[in-house]
Amino acid sequence: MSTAQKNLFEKKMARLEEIVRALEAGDVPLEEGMALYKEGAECSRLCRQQLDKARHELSLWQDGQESPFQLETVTGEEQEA
Amino acid sequence: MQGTVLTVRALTEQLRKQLEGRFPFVWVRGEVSNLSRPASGHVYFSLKDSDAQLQCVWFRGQQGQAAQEQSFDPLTGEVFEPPRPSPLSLMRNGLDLLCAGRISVYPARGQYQLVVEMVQPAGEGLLAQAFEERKRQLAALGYFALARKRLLPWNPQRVALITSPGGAAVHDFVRVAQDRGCPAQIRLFPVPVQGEEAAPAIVKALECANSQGWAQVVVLIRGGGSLEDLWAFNETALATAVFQSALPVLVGVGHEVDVTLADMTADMRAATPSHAALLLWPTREELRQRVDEAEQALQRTMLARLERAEQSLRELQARLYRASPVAHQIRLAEKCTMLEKALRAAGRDFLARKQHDLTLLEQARLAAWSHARLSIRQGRLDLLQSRLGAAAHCLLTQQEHALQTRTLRLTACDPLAPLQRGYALLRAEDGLLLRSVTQTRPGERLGVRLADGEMAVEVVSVRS
Repeated sequence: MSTAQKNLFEKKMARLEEIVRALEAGDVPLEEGMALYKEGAECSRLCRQQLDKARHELSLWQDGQESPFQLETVTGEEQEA
Repeated sequence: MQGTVLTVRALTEQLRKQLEGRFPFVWVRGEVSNLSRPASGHVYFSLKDSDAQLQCVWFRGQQGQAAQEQSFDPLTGEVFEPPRPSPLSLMRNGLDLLCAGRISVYPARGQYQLVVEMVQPAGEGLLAQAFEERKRQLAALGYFALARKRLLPWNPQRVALITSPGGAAVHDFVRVAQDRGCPAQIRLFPVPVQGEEAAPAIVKALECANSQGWAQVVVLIRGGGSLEDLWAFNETALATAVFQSALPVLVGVGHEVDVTLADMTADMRAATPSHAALLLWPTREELRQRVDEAEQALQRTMLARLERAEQSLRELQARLYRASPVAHQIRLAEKCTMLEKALRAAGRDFLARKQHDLTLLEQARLAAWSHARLSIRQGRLDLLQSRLGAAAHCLLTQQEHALQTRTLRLTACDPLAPLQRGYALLRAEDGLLLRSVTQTRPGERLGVRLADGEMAVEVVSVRS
């Protein structure tokens, strides 16, 4: 998952709420409103997509370095711990 | 013994004999931990102090007196009034205990242990005492003040997780987290979570997470354990690191009942590692609901916006139409028709009004000359006529009556009337009536008037 995608949900959600507020304010020209609506619908679709495929990303910070971390690899070990 | 290979059992047996011979009865004081009381009725526990542990077993058969209330101290003979609760009922982890018994070996585990024969509580447990003391100190420093507790970020995207990478805690935490929140990054800072090196390592990890400043929240978790196992989380240094953390800290250590000083200092305390994940992230359903709501709001506001646009379009169209020449013409024609109608109506009204006036006059005329009024006048006339007749008749009668009266009076005055009754009138020749004999002389001729005629006579004598 790229950095751009990491905060996608919150960003898109915030944008969606912003769009709703702008439309509610009612002073948006119609064409602009239509464009906003399209963008809002896209935000909502992306948010849903994010939730559907949501997996937290685990990393291990050790000795000043970050490395990917798979919990499954320690599952057997931790049962005894 | 040298050169002989012993079996484990044989060696263990020799050790047992040595130990039992050397320590047939000892007093030992320590803090109870790992207390276990299975159904057999035997009591298993460890006695410990800060440096060492001793396995202890207190067989059911040895408990005898200890299961009852104590009315005297078995060591000093001091009489307890009122009696104290039985030592058996007081047994709990952390209790500072004085035990008497013999040292023996449990061959199956190769462990030496104290076979307890008598117990006596010896004041509060040392660790518990230390815990209470530190708690007081930290509370005085304001570590547990509610006012300084910060809110955790909602649905955090970047989480610093401080725990043992091999522990059950991280597994529980991640398992619960997987069904919650939207994709987040969890950066695990591996630390030992028990033993002497635990607290310094955790403090270092906390400092590291804070200096990175990457995370939105720091989560410190550990699975359940005894008071000694969790002791690192009661270290003042750790509590201070939690207290000083610039990032909000969520601590979930042990089970629900375990409360450490780190828990109490944290911005939020989770009962368990799983609970920490629950507190950190909302459920996916909640997030989906949020998306749904935002989407519905989007649809609603867009529809409203379109409706507004349509409405103003309609209004403008209507205004445009009103301003067009055709509409003007139509309006004029309508005005014309209306005036025409008004004129007609006014004419009709005028005629009707006049007609009405006429009718009123006719009625007045009829009223003035009506048969009724004539007959009234006729009546008055008749009345006057009859009154006239009556008055005339009355007048005539009166006159007649008066006439009669006068006639009667006149008749009564008639000079000839007495003639009827035999009187006579005498007249001289000159025609004058004689009223005295002196007016005549014999020989003279006189006229005599009687009632039925006259005759002439001569006076023969006169006498007076």
